[in-house]
Amino acid sequence: MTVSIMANLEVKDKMSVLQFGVVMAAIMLGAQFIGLPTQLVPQAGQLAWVSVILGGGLFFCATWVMLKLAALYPNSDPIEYLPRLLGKWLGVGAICVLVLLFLGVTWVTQNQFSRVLVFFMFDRTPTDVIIMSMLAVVAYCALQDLGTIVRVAQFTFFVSVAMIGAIWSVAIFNFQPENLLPFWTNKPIGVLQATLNTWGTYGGYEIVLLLFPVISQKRNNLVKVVGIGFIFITLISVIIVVVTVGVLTVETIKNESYPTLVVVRSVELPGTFIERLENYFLIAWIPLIFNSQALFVYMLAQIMSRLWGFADHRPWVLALVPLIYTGATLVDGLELMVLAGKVLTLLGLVFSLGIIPLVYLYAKWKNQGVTAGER
Amino acid sequence: MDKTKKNKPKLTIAKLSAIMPADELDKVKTRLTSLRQLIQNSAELGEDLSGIVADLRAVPAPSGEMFVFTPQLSQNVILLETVFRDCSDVKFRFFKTGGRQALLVSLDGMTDATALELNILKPLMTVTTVNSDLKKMMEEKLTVAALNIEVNANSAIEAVMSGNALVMIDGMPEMLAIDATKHVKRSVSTPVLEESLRGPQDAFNETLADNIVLLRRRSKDPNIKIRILDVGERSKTAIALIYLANLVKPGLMEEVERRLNSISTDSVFVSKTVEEAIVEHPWTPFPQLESTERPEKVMAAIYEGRVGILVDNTPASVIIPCTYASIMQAVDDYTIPASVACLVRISRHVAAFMAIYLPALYIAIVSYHPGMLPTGLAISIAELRARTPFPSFLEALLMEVLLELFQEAITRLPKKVSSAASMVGAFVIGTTVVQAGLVNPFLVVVIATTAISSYVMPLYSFGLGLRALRVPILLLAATLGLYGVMLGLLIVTVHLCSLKNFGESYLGGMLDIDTLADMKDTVFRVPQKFMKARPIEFGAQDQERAGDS
Repeated sequence: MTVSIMANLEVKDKMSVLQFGVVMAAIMLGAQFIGLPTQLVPQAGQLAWVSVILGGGLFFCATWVMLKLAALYPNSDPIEYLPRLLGKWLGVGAICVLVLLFLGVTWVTQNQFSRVLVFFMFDRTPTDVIIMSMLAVVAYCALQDLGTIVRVAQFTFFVSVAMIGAIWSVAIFNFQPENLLPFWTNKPIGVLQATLNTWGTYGGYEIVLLLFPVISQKRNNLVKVVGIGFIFITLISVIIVVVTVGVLTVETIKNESYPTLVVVRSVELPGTFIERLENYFLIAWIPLIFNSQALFVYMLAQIMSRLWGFADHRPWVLALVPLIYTGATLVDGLELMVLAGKVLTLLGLVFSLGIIPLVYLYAKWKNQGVTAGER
Repeated sequence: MDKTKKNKPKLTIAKLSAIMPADELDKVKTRLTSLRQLIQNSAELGEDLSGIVADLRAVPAPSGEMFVFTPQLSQNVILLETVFRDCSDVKFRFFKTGGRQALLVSLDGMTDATALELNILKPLMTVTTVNSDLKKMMEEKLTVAALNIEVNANSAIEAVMSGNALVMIDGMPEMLAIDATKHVKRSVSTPVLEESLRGPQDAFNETLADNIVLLRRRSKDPNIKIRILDVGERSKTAIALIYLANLVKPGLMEEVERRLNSISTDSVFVSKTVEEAIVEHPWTPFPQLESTERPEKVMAAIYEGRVGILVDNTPASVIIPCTYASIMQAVDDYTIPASVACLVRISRHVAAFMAIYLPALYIAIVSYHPGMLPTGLAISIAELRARTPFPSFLEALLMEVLLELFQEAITRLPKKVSSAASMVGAFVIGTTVVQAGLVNPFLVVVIATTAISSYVMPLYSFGLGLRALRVPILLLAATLGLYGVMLGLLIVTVHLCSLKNFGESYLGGMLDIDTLADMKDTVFRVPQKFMKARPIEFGAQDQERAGDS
């Protein structure tokens, strides 16, 4: 029997379908789940979990359209085919939206991450120290080749998810099922509005456009694997929302910035060695942030290097680090953060549900980009 | 009578010069002078001609060779004496064979003198006529098992220096290189660094031939190939590459050979020299190639599609490629029940983590996050720390320095003294430092646990790598608390995943979704009957283990 899977790093710029599934889940499961209930519960109430499920379905559909578009140009990435398809300015404009989206996500994530860490772990440390140190490690990872990044992402993802799952499971001790009642709402619009707000939870799936050409082997299972990835993230998000509502109630969540951490903090295990669980939870959360950030920075560097005709993405990693740092420190203050979150959600929705479906329909109609060699 | 007198010739006496005017003395003298001159000229001409012929006969030595042997033994002797000047251990033994002068060259102490006397000197000295065909003579007269005809000067000299004997016969430009190597060597003994309770008890020694035998004895598979290369411009150290022809990962053997051939070094005395020359990241503290003195470990690796390297004069063999998972496998894991081996292996992974991060976690929690500790323990530690003057980071650093000093001292000292030194170390670290109020006892427990954790590693050099990272992580913990420890963890993870070892990621394969099936023998150790496939990570040509169904 011959080995047909990606057993080693020899193929540095390729990944298998399964590896892509994990990488996609890793980039999606970043910072957002810490504040997820606060984003959804004010609109959807105790049925926030329905919004999460609807959001999962909606953004899976958006990813499916992206896959269909990418399949039209299996050997090219959007930086090549978008200008060819839409013309130079429109094509570059669409790419710029993606760049802004990724850049904005890194700014907001870095800022939110540093705030959470300072709030819960280092009350006298400036957020800049946290941002700078994290960016240094993220840059070190993003400077590596894709094969290394994929393996780092998998390793940290599995370890972190296992740790977070174990810690989160103890929240069941404070769970009050009656907090989830009633199972009905008189504001269905709120549930639907919250559905759109879940972009922050699922954001990152856009990498499928960029990574599609480097996914090796048969891509028959790609949709299935992407689907499993979405089910996994949806499941985690539903558990987080349901348990948070069950522990804190809807009214309490509305007033909490980081309800997930409050849930973990509220758990008491008298007589055991482990007492303050939120610190353990945060420790397990750090690799998830790192993973997501490293992948975003790598993707941004790849886009920029291809856009400017660089053969190597590494100079762009180093160029992006000060830009991300500046952006992350500028998005300061709660109001600005909320605004940035709204802008990013809007941008993400426009890109995923507006630009990409239109481009796909146009490409399908034009059917010019498809050549015999590419298919 | 008168007739007789009449017929009698008349005898006349005259001067010779008168009879033979052309031969008169002056002329003869003149001619003689001319002849002498002619002879002298001829001699000079002959000398000139001889020189020209000698020049014509002398073939220039090809580049890279010292000289070319000639059919004249006397000249060859001069050449060899020049090469082996001041080499008192090189012995020249002249003898006659079939009426011709012959010479036996050997290195004293490196050759089997008895075998040479019986199998070479005796048969050759009893030969009455020498066959001009050396090959025929070798086949008919000599009773040595291993010998070959040598014409190349460099090879002949290298053969002598390797312990072979050289036989040269006058009139023949070729010579015989006889393998009669016999030298002082260590016998095959038990492993020193990798002891095993129930595993085989024989280990590699310093002799390449013995080590190859230890491998061959373990498998009768003719697909096991052994290729020998010479590395080191001067030392010409023999290096054996061992692989399974129909199993080795495609391209691996060629890549290993390419890297070995490209080694540019003067000499190779330890296998580490080879290891450092062929790895991609020579500055990393972690060992990138697996080193072992156990033959069965090399064989097991070969049957996973990997390549083994044996270096002459060193008992440490090298296995390529190597990953974190393969380093964590010990021979005893396979000689104890699988369930127990699983627990042992998991504890080994935990120990690897503790060997780097435990002191850092202590510093981070005590200095930045004491609230994470149970109240009773936090108060207890605070009390203990109140008795010491230093901040916890300095305490830990002091203990680390002491620990490293004692470890180094114990490693360097002779066994008898080292046990005394370890006693002193234990006493000083365990009791005096605490009593002097320099370090709190809880930290002593932490550091001792860390040290023991690093000793758990099956590969000693991996434990050293873990030790090397302890202080940098300690610094991160002292600066950024648990966040710093996590950053350190991430840096180490990225570094280990980025280490490419002949195509394999050092750590990346551990939780790679494509190679999750390998976990049966990495994180865990399932019973042998469930290990029907070879590790995917090493990319063997045939994944199914033959005979396992």
